[in-house]
This record gives sequence, C-alpha cells and structure tokens, in this order.
Amino acid sequence: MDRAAEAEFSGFMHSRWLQLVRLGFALTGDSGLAEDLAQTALARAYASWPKIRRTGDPDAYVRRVLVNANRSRFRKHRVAEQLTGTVPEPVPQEVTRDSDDRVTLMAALLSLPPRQRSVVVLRFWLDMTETQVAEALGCSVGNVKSQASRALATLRARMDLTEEMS
Amino acid sequence: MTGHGEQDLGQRVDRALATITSGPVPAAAIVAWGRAIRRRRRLAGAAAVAGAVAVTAVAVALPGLLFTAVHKKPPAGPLTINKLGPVARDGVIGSGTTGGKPWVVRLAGGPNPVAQATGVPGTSRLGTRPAGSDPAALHAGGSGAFRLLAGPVSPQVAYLTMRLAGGTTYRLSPVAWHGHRYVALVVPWNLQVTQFTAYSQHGELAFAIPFPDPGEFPRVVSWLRPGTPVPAVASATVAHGVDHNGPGFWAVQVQIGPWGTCLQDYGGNFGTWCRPTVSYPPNAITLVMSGPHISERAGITGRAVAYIQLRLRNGKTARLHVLHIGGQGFYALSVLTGPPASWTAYTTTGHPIATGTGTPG
Repeated sequence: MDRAAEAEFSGFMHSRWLQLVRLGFALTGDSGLAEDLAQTALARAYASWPKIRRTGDPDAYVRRVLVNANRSRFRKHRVAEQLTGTVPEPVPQEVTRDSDDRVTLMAALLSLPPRQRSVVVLRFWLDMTETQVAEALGCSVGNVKSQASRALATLRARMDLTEEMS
Repeated sequence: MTGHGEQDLGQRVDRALATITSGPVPAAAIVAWGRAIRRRRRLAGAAAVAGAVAVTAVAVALPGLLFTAVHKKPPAGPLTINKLGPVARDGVIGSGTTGGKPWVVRLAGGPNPVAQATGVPGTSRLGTRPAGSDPAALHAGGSGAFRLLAGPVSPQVAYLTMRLAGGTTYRLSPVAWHGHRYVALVVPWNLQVTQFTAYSQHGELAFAIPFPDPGEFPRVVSWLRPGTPVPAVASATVAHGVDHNGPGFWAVQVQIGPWGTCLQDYGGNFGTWCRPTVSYPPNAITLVMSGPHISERAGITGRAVAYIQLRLRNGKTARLHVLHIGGQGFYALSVLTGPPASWTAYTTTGHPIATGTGTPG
C-alpha cells in the first residue's frame, strides 16, 4: 500500500475502533471478545484496503466482517456463550433511572439468542434495512423479520418497553 | 410495534452501548495482522497460478471473460465540477452536479463573503485569504445530505486537487471575486476525501490529509509541505465519566495525525475541536474545549505538566490526570461532577509550575 493509503486506513481505523468494539460487545456481551472482533474486522480491512476503498463503503465491509467473524466463532468452535448481563463499567453509587434503564436493556439484549440479538443490533441500532441485515447475516429477509419479531417480543416481556415502544 | 418505537429502541441501545469504552487502538497489531493476511493470500495466489498453468487452454478459450473481470470500469463518479473563471460572473464561483443534480455556488455579503447554494445551508464568513502560509481555507457548510465546501485560496495557488478514497481526483480552479480568489463545490456529506493538494504554476505547494470526523465531512485542519514526513496517527481517551445530571456517559478522545490535533467529545454537546499540531511551552495550560451549555472541559498542556490538582467548590480536592501523547499533554473533566474553584499544575517531581482559579487553562 502507498503512504496515502496507509494514512487513510490509519485514520479510518482510529475513527471507527470504538464503534466496532461497541458493535462487538452488543453481539457478544464480552468486552474482550468485542475487541478481538474489532481487531479481526480491521485487520481484514487492512489486507483488502485498496479494494475496499474503491467500493466507497468501508464501513459496510468492516461491519459485515465483524458479524461474520462472530458467526464463525459459534460455527467453528461451538463456543458456549456465557453472558454476564452487566456492562463492564463500575456501577455508580447513585444509580439513576437512566443508568438503570441502560443496564436493564443491555441485560435483556444479551439474554437474546445470538441470531435475534444480531438482528436487533443491526436493524435497530445500526439502522440497516431488512435486506441489508439479511445479507450481513446470510439469511432471508423473511427470517430477519421473524427473528426481529421474536426478539422484540422477548425484549417487551423482559423489560418495561411497552410504554415507550408501542 | 411502531416505527417510532423501533427508533426509540435503537436510541436506547445507543445510550446503553455508549457506556462501553475501550483502551487505545491496537494499531500496530492490526496492521501486522493485516499484512500477514495479505502475505498468506499472495502465497495462496502463487500456488493457484502454478495450478492454473495446467488449465491454460481453458483460459485461452475465454479471453473476453478474463478481460471483463480484470478491466471492469469503475462506476461513474457522482460528482462533476465545471471549470469557471477566472473571474466570477454574478458572484458564481462554482458549478457542477452531485448525484446528477446541478448545483451553483454564489458569493454574497460584501468583501468578507458567505457562500450560498440552492438547497444547502450557506457557509460562515469565508474571509479573503487563508490564514498564515496556508494555500487554502476550506469551510464546510450545512448538516444534511449535501455540504457546501468553499473558501479563499492564496494568490500563488493555480489550482487545487481533491482526491477521493477510490483514487478519483477532481481539479478545483479558483475564481476571482472582488480581487480575491475562491473555490467552491457541493458534495455528498459522506464523500471520502483523502487528500487536498495545492499547486502553483510551478508545482506542488502543499497537501492536506483531512480529519475523518465520523458523521461529518472530512475536515481540513493542517497543510503540509511536499516532502514533509506524514505524522503518525495516534489516539487515546483523555478522560471519561458519568454525569447523572448531564449527558450521562461522556468521554473525550484525542486523535493526532497528519490532519493535526483533534479532540472529540462523546456524549456531550461539544463535538469536535481541531487545530494544527503545534509545540506548546513546557508549562503551558490551555483550555480549548468549553461552552456555556456544555459540562465537559478539555485542554492541552506543555510536556512538563504531569498532573493538575483541583480544589473543588465543595472544599474537596481532586487530581486531574494529564495524558501525554505526541509531545502534548491533554486533560478533560466535567464541571458538573465537581466545579473547580482553583487549580495548581505540577511536574512529575511534584513541583508546582502553574496555578489559577476556576477551570484549568
């Protein structure tokens, strides 16, 4: 890669790192795994950077790689997922309603099966279309719809979302 | 479930994930891993070529197919820029098309003009020439899908080029208006500009690698002379915390690179602050990020400042960590958590070197 491309990738890597770690955490519930997935996605992006920059949408590429790497984690290694249901942040002494809501929502999200959680994260957090989610997860649009429906039903049941979500 | 409800879920997930932080970017490890992947691919490719010799006859039968695969034309760019000038007519300093839609940029407002284009918010006052020895000052206007980019260029600039991530390069020719020269164009907000270069009649004057501000148009902060080593990129979180009465989780990150020095406020309202990387006096303490309705404060120190001791208005004391990176020190705090009444800066050996009242800097 030439110097300009190296600098360009470096800028991209530094500006997207935190968001990729957050995406990894949303998918895995584990901050260590989240950083591993973010590293995997960015290393693969580096390896193909000249091609990716031509496509004009490197964000979509790294997201897809991260999601696929997480899927592979289950497929290849049959990882027994252990979810903590808590965020890796010291709980403040004065827990407000807002921070309470975050912890509850994160716990509810992490309690979803991996596929449903991926659909919620991609569809509602990253605001991807159902078609884009289906492409990213390698499934049909119908499957995305049904997974989203089940996930939202579960989230409703596990936390008081009805007031604000319906 | 309504669309509004789904949007609300996205926002709530966003707020929940905003509490997730990370250490510094393991940049060296990522690049080393990426290079290893590329080496493996090359080896695999070489092995495939060796195997392909056996099936050359098949390939010879399909030359058209191979040609199509290798020489596929890139898609046509969404942006065209017309060459105008050298003198503006009716104040028009730029025209072209973006995504097939025509745009025209006009200057208005007297000798210190603003740039205006239909359907796009205008820029702030552009001034008449760039600061110092910079070849151009590029101001981005607007916050929607399209941005108006305009600014004055110095007299010795013959033209600028704008290079995109895919390698496409556009030429921007200055147009004179009231005795000063300007460039202007309308671009999609997410256009991935990787470099601006300024040329005189005799060759390259300077180049700028813009800061890739997430969600914003790339920001030109510094111009580098040809042959200048491109500064390395470094980033780190200066400080973070939780304001129960304010934005909730907040964090200030520093990003240093070829663009200059940028501080970003996550969770708060300040956004991004950038300026060219400069050398500060060893005991300097400069507040750079503050605002009337913003609880976060951030500043830069010289290399001698190791930490800042705060005396809070409630009588307590707190030590403010100074993060040193790229020859500069950075600090950040929330004045909601504990408004400081006074402060004293110390060296690593514990000698006080600066003092003041209120927020440091």
